[in-house]
Amino acid sequence: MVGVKLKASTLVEPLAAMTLLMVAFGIGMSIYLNILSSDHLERTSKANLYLQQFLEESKREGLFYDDEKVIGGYRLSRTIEPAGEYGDAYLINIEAEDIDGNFLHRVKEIVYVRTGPNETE
Amino acid sequence: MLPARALFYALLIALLIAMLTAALVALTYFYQAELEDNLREEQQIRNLRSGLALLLEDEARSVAEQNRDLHGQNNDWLRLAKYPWGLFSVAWAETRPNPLAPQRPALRKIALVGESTNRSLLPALYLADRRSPLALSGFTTIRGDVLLPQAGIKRGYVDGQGYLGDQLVYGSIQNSNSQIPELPIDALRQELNRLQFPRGTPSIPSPHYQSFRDSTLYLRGPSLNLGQLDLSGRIVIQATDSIYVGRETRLEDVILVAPTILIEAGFEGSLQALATRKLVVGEAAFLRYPSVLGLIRSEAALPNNINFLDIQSNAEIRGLVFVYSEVYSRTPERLVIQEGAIVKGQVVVGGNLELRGTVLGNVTCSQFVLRTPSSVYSNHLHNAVIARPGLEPYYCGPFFYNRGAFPQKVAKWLE
Repeated sequence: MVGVKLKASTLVEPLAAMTLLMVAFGIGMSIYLNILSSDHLERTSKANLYLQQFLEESKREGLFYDDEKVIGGYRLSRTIEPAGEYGDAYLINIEAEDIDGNFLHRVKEIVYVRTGPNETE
Repeated sequence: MLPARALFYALLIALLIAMLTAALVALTYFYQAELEDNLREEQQIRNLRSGLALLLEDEARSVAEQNRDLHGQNNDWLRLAKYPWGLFSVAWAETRPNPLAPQRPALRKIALVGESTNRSLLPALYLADRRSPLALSGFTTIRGDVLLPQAGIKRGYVDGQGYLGDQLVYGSIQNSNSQIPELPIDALRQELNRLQFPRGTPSIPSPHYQSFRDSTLYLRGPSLNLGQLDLSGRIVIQATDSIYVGRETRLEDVILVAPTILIEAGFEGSLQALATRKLVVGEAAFLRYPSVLGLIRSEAALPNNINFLDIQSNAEIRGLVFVYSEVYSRTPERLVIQEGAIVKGQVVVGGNLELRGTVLGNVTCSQFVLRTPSSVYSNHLHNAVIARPGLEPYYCGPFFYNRGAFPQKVAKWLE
């Protein structure tokens, strides 16, 4: 290293460089974390799984009445309304909210529930 | 001399951090967009199911094409329709293309729809009361509830062989009427007339699939040998004389209409075949659910001809087999189910039924006949099996009895 000379810098220069890096990193991370924290979709997609589970259960078990339950930190409420023109179809509307009451997602499906006389085998 | 230039390197790293942050932000954005798209698509699939539920709720066999906003919020638009397809109906629902992803095709669900069945409508056996008892012999087995003539049921002897079972009927016995339940003759005639389209193409390139969302394709000729044709979908094959379905022919969900229809031994497929003179299903042929075989003796048929539907040995039919006449004749039409043949579903015969095989489901007939080399027996069953419990509870029959009285169900998903 005999022939190599490093030009010295003042104390101000590395300090300014470090500050700049910290500011750049801070701004970058704050933007990214802000986006992640404001993202409803992760909670929405998780809520969607519970909603689908609740919907399938309602159809399978024939639970065609208003109901509410809390699963995995989500409040799911089911409402049933008549749909169609002949009184044999119902709209199942299930909404998910978080514990603070913020609406997250909803699923809706019309089901046909008519059975004939002596239908059960 | 190497300059330190700390500020320069710091700017370079800051730029890298900015780029990395931008990439992460972009990644999150696309992830969110994809997730939103998936949630929307899931709702569209639920909308399709909803649309089909509305079509099933409507008792009519056909519903004109319509646009419908399912939930009245202008973002759940569907196009729906239902139309007759032979003795079934086809119901379809289609979403509008997604404006956010116009490159994606519209979602679509198409189903073959029939009528659900039940125990009271479908006993194991309904034998019209012609004042003659039913006689059983050999290994004959009847499982399920039966409606029989007042003369009842007894042990019989055919070719010196008596009844070998412990019990004559494994189920309840009630009295039947002098006629079998009324068949929907007007509706069947209308259906036949509708299917006999005056125009049609003499040939179709093979293989060919005609979507049930498109218009009907008619293959028409005086006498058609389907050879190695591979056809499926909304296709009606009609001949003024006969149709020959070979072992190599591939048919799925198509309709065949002709005076004479011959299905070669070993054929496998799913179809609705409606003949007016003769219908023969060869040995070991397999007609998948939901298939229909119908012999409809109309005024157009020669009155003195013996019209018959013959299901040869080891053939298997899953669906409905029916025979009826629109005209009175001294030589009633007949259905023959040969030894080893199986029908899983419904068998309805306005004339004579010669049952040597097995029916897992329901048999409704005016009279049984049994031909042996030495004699012809009336209302005798020899080595035949009728078992109502053999029919799956999910079985969905075509629109045959009591139109509108029972809920419509999906018999098969087509698309």
